[in-house]
Amino acid sequence: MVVEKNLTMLNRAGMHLRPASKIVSALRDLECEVEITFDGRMANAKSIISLTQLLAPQHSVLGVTATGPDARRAMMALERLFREKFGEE
Amino acid sequence: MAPNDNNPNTILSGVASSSGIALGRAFHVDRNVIQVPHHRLAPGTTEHELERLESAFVLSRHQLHEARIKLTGGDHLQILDTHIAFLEDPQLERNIRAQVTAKMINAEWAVNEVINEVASVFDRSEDSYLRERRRDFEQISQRLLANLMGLHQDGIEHINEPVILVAHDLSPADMAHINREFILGILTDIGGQTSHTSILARALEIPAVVGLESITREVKTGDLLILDGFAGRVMLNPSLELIDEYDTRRRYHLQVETELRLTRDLPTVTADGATIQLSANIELPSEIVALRTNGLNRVGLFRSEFIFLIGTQTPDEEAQYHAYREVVEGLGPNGVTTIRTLDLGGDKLHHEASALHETNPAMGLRAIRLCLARRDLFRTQLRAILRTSAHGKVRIMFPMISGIEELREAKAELESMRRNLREENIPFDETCEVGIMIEVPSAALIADLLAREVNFFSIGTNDLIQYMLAIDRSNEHVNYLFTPAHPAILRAICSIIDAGHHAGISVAMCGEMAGDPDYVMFLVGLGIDELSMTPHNSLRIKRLLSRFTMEEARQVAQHALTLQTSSEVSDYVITYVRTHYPEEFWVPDWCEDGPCLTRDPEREPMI
Repeated sequence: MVVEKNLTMLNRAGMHLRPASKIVSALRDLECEVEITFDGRMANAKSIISLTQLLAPQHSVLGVTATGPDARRAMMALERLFREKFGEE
Repeated sequence: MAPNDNNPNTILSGVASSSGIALGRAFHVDRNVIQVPHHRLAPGTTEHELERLESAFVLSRHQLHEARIKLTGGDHLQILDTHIAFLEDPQLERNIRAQVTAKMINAEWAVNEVINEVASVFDRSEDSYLRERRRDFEQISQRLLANLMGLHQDGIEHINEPVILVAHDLSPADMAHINREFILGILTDIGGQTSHTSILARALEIPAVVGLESITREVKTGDLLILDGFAGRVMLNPSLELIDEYDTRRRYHLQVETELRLTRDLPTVTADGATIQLSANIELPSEIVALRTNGLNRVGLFRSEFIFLIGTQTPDEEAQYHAYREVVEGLGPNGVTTIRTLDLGGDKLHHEASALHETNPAMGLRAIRLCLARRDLFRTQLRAILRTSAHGKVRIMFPMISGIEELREAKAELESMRRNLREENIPFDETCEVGIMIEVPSAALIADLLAREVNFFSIGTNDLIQYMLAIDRSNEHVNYLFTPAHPAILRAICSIIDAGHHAGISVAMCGEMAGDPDYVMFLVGLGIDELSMTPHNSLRIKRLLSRFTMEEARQVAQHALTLQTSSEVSDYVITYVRTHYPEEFWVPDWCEDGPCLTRDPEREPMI
């Protein structure tokens, strides 16, 4: 199963270590691959390092593609994290 | 090395962040950027290098997990979790190992290369918020390097002799390792009154001066120092006379403390046995340590907004619940915790509120107004507080109520959160009391109406004075007019207390006036039920209370109410208490604003 969606970084500080670690821990036990693209760069959403290299500031729109049996659940978890600004301002 | 190395009596000034005097040798907590050694590996030593790397990873994770156990909740915990998660990313270790093997370079070099590369993209960002986040990477990299090089980054926990800590800054993890037995004082280059280090130093009652800017450059481990946490000064390489002088001061303060501690477990009663509740104003859960040392088990004002301000993140329901619960459980079974709902906006920063660019923020969208405009924030907080009430006595207090409608609306939100919790079968205290701050003049004037709808009042004098007298306290041109002695303020306090008592509810005070020894008699004379103050003032107030009777206090209050000007009031009230109980106000001439002894140490030998 493949699920695709665009998600917007709403938190003030953008994609730094802390949101990245929340994404990784949300996806850790899910059976799927998740790729996130921004500004011509692509990241593996299960790797903190990879996510931080996206360099996505506030208001940037990220393309998210989840592939695998848990793709839908992964997307739901991500949508929630993005919507709640990763618990930040 | 340092330019003032052996220069006697160099004095540095900073922010006096935690009171007390400390004399001792410096312990330099080395958080300077580590000089990374670069060398090529000899053939056949790669395996050994990879093992060193592996141990550094294991040790670093272990240290972070250890520090994590000692912290409870909040932003700092999240920072540690992030550091742990980063160190656990297999890609990180894999990349570093690949560098070691491919380039035949030492592990330190490889760590530095890889983490720098990962972090360097942040330098390219045009977004300043994102650029600032580079610091996380630096901290992780420094930890790995220190562990590779055996530099004991967490050296603080191994200190086993009395020292004064000197550091650029102390992290939450550092503060979790502070052992009061050996840490005489704390000095840092950066920080202010409300920085984490200051708050914890005060809670642990360790003298501290922060914001010294260059202390780490001026001082090295082993240097003799005097730390004056009252004046915010540090004396480097002091002369013998100066050491003598400060040792006298130190022993004086120690004696004051010791003497006050004698009253710690006594009940708070007037000379004729009337009980007055004393409680504490706090900002962070870590401050409950200070309550215990001062014999308090009530929080009269928990300024909940501080847990929103200390980090970059707005705490969610769980984070708030844990913070509140830590306070409630820390106070023990007879404790009472009064949690004031979010009092943000106005002078305090808040991204969304400040974005409004209000011309008059003190009268703008703040406190309960902000909460009613941002119901999501409000509901989350109310749920967190209600859930906490399952663990001990909790009281909810709404700030800045100006009229009945606002109060009813806030209570309706509370009721709907109660319904939600019931439906979800989540336990909470159904009898949890609800009160309001009386700090807006309109509320003071309709206190009789408000009293019918709440369980308690708490008078917030700082704002009440500011709003009643129309004086911005931070405006140096008018702040000389800011005084609790204005007859209008006295009348307001009197009528609020009367209105509360008439309706059968208790009336507390949690402004600065509540902890001011000069006004205690007056307040008690008007019938105040509870005084909430910074924990450190409470023992002194308790002792003063025990000296006079209710009847005497009533007479003072009644007479004060007949006076016509602020200066008549302050002259009378202050002169009365100071001349009738001079021992409670005696201070040595070098001690301008500190606590006081009941005796002149000149006449009686000091301990």
